[in-house]
Amino acid sequence: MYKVAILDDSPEDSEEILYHLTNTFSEIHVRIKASCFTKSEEFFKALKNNEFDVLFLDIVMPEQNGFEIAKKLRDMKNELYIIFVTHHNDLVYDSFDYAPFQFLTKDDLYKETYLLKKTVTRLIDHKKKDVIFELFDESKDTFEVSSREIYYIENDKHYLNYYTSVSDHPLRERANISEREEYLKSLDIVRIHRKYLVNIKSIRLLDNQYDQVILKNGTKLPISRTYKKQTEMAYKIHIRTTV
Amino acid sequence: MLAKILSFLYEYVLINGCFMLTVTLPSYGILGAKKGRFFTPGTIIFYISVWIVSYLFYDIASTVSGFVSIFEGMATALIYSFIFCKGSAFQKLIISFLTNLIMILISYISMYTQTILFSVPVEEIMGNTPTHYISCIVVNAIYLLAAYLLIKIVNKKHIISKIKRTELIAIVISFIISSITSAIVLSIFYRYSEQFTFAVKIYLIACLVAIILFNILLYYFIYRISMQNRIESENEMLKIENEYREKHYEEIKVQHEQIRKLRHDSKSSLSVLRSLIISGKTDKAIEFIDKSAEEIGKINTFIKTNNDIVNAVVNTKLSAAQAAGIKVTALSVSDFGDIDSYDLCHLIGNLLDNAVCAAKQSDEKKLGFKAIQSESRLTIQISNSIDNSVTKSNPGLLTTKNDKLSHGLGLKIVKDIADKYNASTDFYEKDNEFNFIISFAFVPSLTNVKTYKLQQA
Repeated sequence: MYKVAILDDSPEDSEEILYHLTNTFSEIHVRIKASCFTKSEEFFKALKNNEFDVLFLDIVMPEQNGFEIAKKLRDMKNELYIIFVTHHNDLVYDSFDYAPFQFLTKDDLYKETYLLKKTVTRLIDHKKKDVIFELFDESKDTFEVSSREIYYIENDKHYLNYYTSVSDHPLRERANISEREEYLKSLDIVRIHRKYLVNIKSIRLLDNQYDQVILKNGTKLPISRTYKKQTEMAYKIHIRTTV
Repeated sequence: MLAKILSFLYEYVLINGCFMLTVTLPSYGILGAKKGRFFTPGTIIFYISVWIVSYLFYDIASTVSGFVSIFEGMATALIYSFIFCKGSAFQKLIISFLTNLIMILISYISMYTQTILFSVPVEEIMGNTPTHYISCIVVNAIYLLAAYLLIKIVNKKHIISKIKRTELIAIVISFIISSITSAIVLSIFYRYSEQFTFAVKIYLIACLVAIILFNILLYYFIYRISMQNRIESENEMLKIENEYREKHYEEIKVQHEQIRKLRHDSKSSLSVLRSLIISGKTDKAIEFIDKSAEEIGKINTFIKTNNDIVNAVVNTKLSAAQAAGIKVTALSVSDFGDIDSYDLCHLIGNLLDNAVCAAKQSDEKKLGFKAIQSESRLTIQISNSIDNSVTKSNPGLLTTKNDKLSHGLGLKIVKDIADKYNASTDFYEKDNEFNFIISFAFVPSLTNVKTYKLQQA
């Protein structure tokens, strides 16, 4: 069951989006549960009690525009995927600091249905990649961490240290880096060095000049020659999916 | 008494003065004096204090030759340049080192040339003899000449700034290697000179002369080649500019054509409106106005960013594409941050040119422009429809246009600009669509890693 929220000030547009979404999801045999909202307060109220997988968000709305809502969600540390829907093909948006999952224009939705299908497939792909890890800290308290919240993983003898946005100090797991490597790769966490695995999503810059990655939290990690190609490729593919 | 005074004047005023001048001149001549009113008195005080020091240590250090004088010369030059000259510490170090190396070479070579040519022992030249006085004057004159030449060579054409780093390394390495070789030759000379015949001595001197000549020639040729390369790359740039201007001209022609058509259309539509209003069909007239307004609105504004140059480039190119029957979609951020307008224009212009060209040849005729900003990146994606795979048939994306000389430079410009900003470039195909992506990361300290300048016409 895939939980979809649609926030659009015009009910007719919501309905249109829902119609196309239902079609697309049923094509790939995934059931959806959709909730439509016309006002942002309604949506935030519903968000308190429900969990959504994705939000289709209209950009141009009278009270609060889409970007403001996205920023609010981000400030709330909500990791909900957002897909902006614009009803103008020539839209220009102001710079903002929320990484959207996708932009869809009116044409994309109604005429170029393959784009919607591509987006939906990617959404389901991403949901598969959202895995919860059970880790513990030094005082043996357990933490539940989503794979999206991991910055990087460090190999420390028989343990793996997870550096996450959840905690300031590393969280640990007793495991072997070589055994975990293949599995973590399927979650977009790739090996860049004998000692390190990095979540591709958390890379801010891949600095080829100095053979290092700079992560969103400012950490700099070295890339070793063995893993350079693999890292570059994974990063490129990640960027492809964000445009 | 008189002889003593003369000898003192000679040793400390003439010879030491020459030595000081030689050591300090290159730093001053190449780097220039620091700003301030104390330069002249400061230099005089500096000279006097060095004289006093060298007088006090006269027994230890002979000012003309010997290893102590190497350190003395180096130290004097360094202290002088650090106190009085502009420039970085590295430049000062290099210049002092070079000056002293040249001085040592000259003193050794001239000394041994004299011993061979006039067949007098080294001791006589070193000792307190008339030959010593003459040789010292000659050597110091050569010093001054060398210092003067060094300043001339470095200053005249700003050669060092024009020579590339690899070329500079080649020059420095060959200079160091030949210095070492000549030092070895000299030390052989010094040790075994008594056993050598006159002919062997001549050969060895020829060797040294050859090494010096080799250095001069190498320097000259590297400089020539470097100049030639520069001219060639400048020509390449000019060619690109030229191509650009021609393309721009074509686009303006297309626009002009569109405006002409629009004017023609408006004439006829005004007459339609007139007849509609006269016959009292206001509903139809309003409908007609709405429809035409929509038509006009469609033309020419695809994106409206803060950057006028980007607007102009993207909108003209996309309009031309639309006029050629291509289906265009565009989406853009309003702000492009610190990226230079000229670079952006080149980058987007080149990519759009290629995409429009490819889209025209395809069946679907689709073109997309997207500039999207996320938390840490500005990503520009340009896509076009294709019939056949490009990455399979032409993986290096070489030009397929006939005139290979003036085409095919576009992607090079794109890659150069990407390198400048440490941006990543990527291209791939999916579902009959070719995508080119360039992604800039926002890391303030890294945006200006490389100094790079595109030739502006």
